[in-house]
Amino acid sequence: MDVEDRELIERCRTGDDTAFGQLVDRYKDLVFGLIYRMVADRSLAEDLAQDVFLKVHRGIPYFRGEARLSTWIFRIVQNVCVQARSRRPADEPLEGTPRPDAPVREFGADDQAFGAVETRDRLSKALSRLPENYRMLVVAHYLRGVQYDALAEALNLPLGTVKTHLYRAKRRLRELLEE
Amino acid sequence: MSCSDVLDLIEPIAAGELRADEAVRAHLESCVTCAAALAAAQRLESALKGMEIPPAPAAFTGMVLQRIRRDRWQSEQNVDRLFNLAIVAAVLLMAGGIAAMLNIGGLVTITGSALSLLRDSMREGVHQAVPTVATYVAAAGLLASALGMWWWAERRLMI
Repeated sequence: MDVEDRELIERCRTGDDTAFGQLVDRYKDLVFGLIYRMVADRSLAEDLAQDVFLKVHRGIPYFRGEARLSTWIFRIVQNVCVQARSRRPADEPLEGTPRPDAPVREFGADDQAFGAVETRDRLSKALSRLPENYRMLVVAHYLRGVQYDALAEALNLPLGTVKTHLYRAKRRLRELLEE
Repeated sequence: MSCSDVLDLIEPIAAGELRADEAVRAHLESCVTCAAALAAAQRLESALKGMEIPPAPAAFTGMVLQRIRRDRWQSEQNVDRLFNLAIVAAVLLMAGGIAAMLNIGGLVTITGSALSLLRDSMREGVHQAVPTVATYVAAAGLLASALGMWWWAERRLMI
């Protein structure tokens, strides 16, 4: 755990709300970004991100500092997403599901013609169709820069397994993009 | 080297985590399918790296702190409610005990003068008071635990 995180935790333990505000400022984009990509709903993502920080606040007295703070928070994000998923009704048909007669398109090859917005849109839709565990890995690693070792620690998986899962996730993402 | 062997290496190669050796490079040069897969994986890699995520709303930290204060206030309220309930229960128990004591006192006044009678009634009083000792102990215990809870809640709030 880095020094700044440790100091923040210590101050939070003494009931310093300003310190907790600083902790939130430090991690809010990570938490919100991860959740937003998982639930694809801004308002729900805001609520769930608040839930995460509420859990962090309640858990701080019991946080032993053996893992990095970001790893612990990532684990909470994962649990909150799983709980939110279990509360939601069965999946609605996804917006990005292609028609069976849709032509096969090569992802990224038509960037110049359709622009980066179209590429981003297709990628977002493909991401939303990835299985949840794969999506979390891709989002955490690429969009929030969570490194392999931190992912392995947070998910309690060997490093090699995390890499293999991520490769599989990207392969699946590639297939989805080419549909 | 077969397509299946190379396809398994596409993602790590595209991510720059694995260098294609001579055999893989030779296969990629001769196989259109694998070369296309590598190109697609590289495009995906760069699209993922360049993908943006909307930042948290500007007022997010304030909203979190507000929720924490509300949560804290609710837990204070719950502790207060429990404390009040414990106090009411203790007072009721003590009132019951005092009523029982008054009955004993009344008995003494009514039966009045004779020492033998007094002795009898005292003996009787002790006999009756013994069962109420448990009540007093319970009431005192309840009061002590209520005060303990109050102390704990105050201490928790200070933290």
